[in-house]
Amino acid sequence: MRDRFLSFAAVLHRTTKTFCVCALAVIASGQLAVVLLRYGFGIGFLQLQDMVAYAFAALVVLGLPVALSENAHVRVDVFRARQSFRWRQRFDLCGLVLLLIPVFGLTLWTVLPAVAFSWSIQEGAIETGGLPGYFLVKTCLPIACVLMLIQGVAWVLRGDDG
Amino acid sequence: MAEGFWLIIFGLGLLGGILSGVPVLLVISGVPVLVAFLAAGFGAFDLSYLQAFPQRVFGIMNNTLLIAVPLFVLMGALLERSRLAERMLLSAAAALGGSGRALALAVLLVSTLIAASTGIIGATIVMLGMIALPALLRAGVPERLSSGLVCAAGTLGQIIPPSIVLVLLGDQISNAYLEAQQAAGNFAPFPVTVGDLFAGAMIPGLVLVALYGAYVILRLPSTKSRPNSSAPPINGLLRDILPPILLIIAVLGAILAGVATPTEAAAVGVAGALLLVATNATPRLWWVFAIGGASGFALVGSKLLGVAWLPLTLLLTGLLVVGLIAATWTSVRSGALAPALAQTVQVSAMIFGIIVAASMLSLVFRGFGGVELVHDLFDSLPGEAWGMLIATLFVVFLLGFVLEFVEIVFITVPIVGPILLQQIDPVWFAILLALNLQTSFLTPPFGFALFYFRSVAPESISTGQIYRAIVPFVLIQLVTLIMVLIFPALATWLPSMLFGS
Repeated sequence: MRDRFLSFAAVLHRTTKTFCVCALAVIASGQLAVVLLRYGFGIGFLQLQDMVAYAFAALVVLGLPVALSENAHVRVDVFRARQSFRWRQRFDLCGLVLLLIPVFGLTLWTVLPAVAFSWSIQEGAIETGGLPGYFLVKTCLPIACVLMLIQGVAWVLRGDDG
Repeated sequence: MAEGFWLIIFGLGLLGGILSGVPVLLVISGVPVLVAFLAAGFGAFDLSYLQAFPQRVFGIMNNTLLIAVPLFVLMGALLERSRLAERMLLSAAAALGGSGRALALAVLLVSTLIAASTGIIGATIVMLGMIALPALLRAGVPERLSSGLVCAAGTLGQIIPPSIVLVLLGDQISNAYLEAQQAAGNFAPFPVTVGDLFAGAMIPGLVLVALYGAYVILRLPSTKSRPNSSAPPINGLLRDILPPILLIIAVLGAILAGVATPTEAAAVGVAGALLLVATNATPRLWWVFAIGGASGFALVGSKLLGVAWLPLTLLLTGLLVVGLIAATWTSVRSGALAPALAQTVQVSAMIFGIIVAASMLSLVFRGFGGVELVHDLFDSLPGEAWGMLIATLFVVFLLGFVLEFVEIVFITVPIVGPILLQQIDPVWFAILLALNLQTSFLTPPFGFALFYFRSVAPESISTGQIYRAIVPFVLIQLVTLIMVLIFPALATWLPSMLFGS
């Protein structure tokens, strides 16, 4: 059961990470294209700029679970360096149960109505002539919350040591 | 009074959580939620405040200014992979004469240039510690001076533009300034931009570098330089130092000239860094990448001169795009691109994690009436604006012992900014904050820079030695900080010259 869950989390992690890397590639190449078009040819390409903005929005939230499972989030290890392995695990378990689950559970709970509404009107870009599909970008937040919850549990189960 | 009680619980919970070693992201988002629920149980908190949180996260996701962050991180990650720093160091030292003093100055010069491209102190110090420290020790520079120099030079990335932390600070300062001016009755204030902060940081940053350099020259008397190795230094300089300098001029120049936004300039920076990585990976194709880069510069040049001849623009853009495609291909083949992208995702996620979490913290802080409390606290201080400023700088200095730049900026600026910036120049305040934090990171026994340095320094250098080594540099920092405090023009003159705000 534990192993199954961990390998499921690992697959999710690889998928999310690939998605984030692609989003980053879109941001970099898209933004450069926007710059070349604007300054070279005086063409403003609103949909391309929106694509960059959407990729960025997705990266902001979907990067969080990626960094969590890679144990890359900042810690202050003034005392942690001197804690025994068991104490570190206890602290991490507390972090999961007392902090991670309430925060991302609560966010998931409060964001769902907003996202459901966004789907119901098929929310698009703010400016006219922009890229449609903004509701998909908004959906990234609840997805990120679910991923945080899954990767958080996996992170404590694995007993990663940061 | 009851609010004061809950805010104390809140503060203690945060401090305990941070020191426990749990990821800071979880602490600064989770502790506020816990305390809010606890207080709600006693009727001291209105839980409907928390419903605003998703909207705040959407606000961060839609903040187009922040797009510059992953781009600057990517630029730094690519430059790191190109082993540029190492070669810059060797060439600069050779050109300066090959003595210990020359090497020490080269370290300073190279870290100033690198600083301009990364702005993440941990990464810079670890890199300098691994590359520059052994070289300095071999060249006969005393251990204490070498250690102090590496730590101090490694933190320059915070203050020398285009640093990532200045982008983040600019975002927060401009929001806080807007709020402050509206509260003061000014409904159309001049906006504060990231460009203002970049310009404002230039002179204090260069003063800092100059003082470091003067100290090095003072401590290391000139020695007869050893005969140089066969390669004539001018070639090395052209090959290793000139391209990164051009890159930085392009990125910074575009922002300071008011032509491009930081995000646009960062995209240009990524393109330049990609060309440099490719040149390093496949030197025999250097001319393809050089033509690409030169076309880019020619494009900018023709734009500045007002030459708008379509065939020329098309040709130059074509050459640039060919160069970039070739560069992308070579970097993928040589295995440099994928790790740089993965590293960028990780580092950006660290930064965004803090931003998202800090927005929860400030939401709950407001819910507890913390803003009014800070207001009352400020009112009770003597010395009007100066009292508030000094108190803020002092608290931020202490926070610098437990938290990093991003956390501190996103926690403190929304709290004190709307009050402080009613009376204080926003650019001046931002630069003071940046200098102050940089000093805090260098101050023993808790300075972050020292921890990072400890992790790469050889055992033979004791922690006590590192602490003593850094003292002169901390003093230089304080001198600069006090100079900017006394002469605000050091920070505000250049932005007002360039942008006239």
